[in-house]
Amino acid sequence: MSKAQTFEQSLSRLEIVVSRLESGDLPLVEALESYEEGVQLVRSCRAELDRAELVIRRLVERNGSVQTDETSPSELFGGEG
Amino acid sequence: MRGAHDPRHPDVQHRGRRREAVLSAFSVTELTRAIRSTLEQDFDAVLVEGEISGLKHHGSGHLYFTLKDEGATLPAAMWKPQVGRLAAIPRDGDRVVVSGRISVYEPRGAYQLIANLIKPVGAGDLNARLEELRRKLSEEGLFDADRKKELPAYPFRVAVVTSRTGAVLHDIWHVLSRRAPHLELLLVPSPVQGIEAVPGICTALERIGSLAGTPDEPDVVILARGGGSLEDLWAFNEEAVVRAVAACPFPTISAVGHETDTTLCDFAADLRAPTPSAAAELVSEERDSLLAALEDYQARAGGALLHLVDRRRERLELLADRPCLRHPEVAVERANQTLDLLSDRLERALGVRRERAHAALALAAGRLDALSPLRVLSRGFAAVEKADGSLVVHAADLHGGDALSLRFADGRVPARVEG
Repeated sequence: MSKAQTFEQSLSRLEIVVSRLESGDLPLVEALESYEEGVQLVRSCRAELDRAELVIRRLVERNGSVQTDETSPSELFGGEG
Repeated sequence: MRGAHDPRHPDVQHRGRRREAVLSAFSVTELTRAIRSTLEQDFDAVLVEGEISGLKHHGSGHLYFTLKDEGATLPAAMWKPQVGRLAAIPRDGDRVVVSGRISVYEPRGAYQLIANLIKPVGAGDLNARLEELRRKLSEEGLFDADRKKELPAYPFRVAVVTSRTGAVLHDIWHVLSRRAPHLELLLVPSPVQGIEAVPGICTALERIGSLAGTPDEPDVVILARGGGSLEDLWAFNEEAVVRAVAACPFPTISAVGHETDTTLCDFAADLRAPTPSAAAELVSEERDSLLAALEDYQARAGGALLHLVDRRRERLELLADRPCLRHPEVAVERANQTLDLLSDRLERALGVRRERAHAALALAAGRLDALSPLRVLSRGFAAVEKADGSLVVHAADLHGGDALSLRFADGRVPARVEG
């Protein structure tokens, strides 16, 4: 599963978990488990967003196979970035 | 061929000042150069209409052809940089308007048209071709709604097919890094104008397609180019490019030109964005709003849990407040008291019943005593019984010779009826 799919799934799971918690009729043990799961989901989603700078890669063909090389704004646009 | 007087063209004379003093023949080169100067000066910007023939696209990238009409022919050449800017290479028989200048190719003494731009005659031409292709691909189902792939809600890797140079890539990069620096931009460079655009874009899309199933596969693809004329954007109306867009295995956004420009790629793509920057915005949910949403979820979860615990505590306190739990000894005392009470009642009830039973027994015994035949017999009576033990109550029941038994209080005496 791609990062995009995982992220989307985590968010919808988060919505379910939080809604269940808010419904208020969970046994305490289950409520604690749900809370734990929610916090875990928030943490993993946040980790995916935790990057301050856009990564730029460039698709290149080398020896007949397609590869991606990391590049940078300064390399692409000159001094900027 | 020439006299003693200067027969030379005044202009040539003027330019050939160095030789002016010495009257001598032109060299071939000199004359040719002179002619070239004249022609280049007088025809430095011409617009000529004609039909293309003998077209040759040389390996060097230059284009050689002849322009002709009913009465004349004009050799023409177009150099590689200008060829690169053509929307499409013309074909023999095409009617075109060529802008350029006249020059002379000195080694062959031939004048020629150095073309700068070639346009098909009649602006309606491109539009007609466009409409024809649109109809054909549409009938084929290439633009059908059920072919469209849905864009992922939160893309993380965005492939961008556009020119390596130019503002478009910079615009997209700028939007993405401002809104969503957690993303990855995968640049797949390709010329987006001129004859190299069509093979370039097709190759770029194929390479992206080859990423399917690898860890490098993008979540979404943006095909982008800045604004321009219909000719400038022509590559995005070429059948091969349109098909390559439709065949791309990832959701693809067409962002070609400005808002008012439409290309066939817009129809073949899964989504059309009015501009490259707009496409970049479409694929980049703002990181700040995502973080805020996560924050909100966490706060809601925490609040809900606290609420849940609070409600249980309240219930507990309510229960703990009940008298039975506050003073459990009361219950015990009450129970003791009840026990005493019951015990007393039991005691009493048992006593009464016993006395009652005694009395009843005494009464019954008295009555029994009073009715006892023994008691009658003890007062001097005797009971007469037959041999079978039955009591004789009437004298008439007896006959002479009957054996009897006389029963006294203290025993029996056998007897016999006389007579």
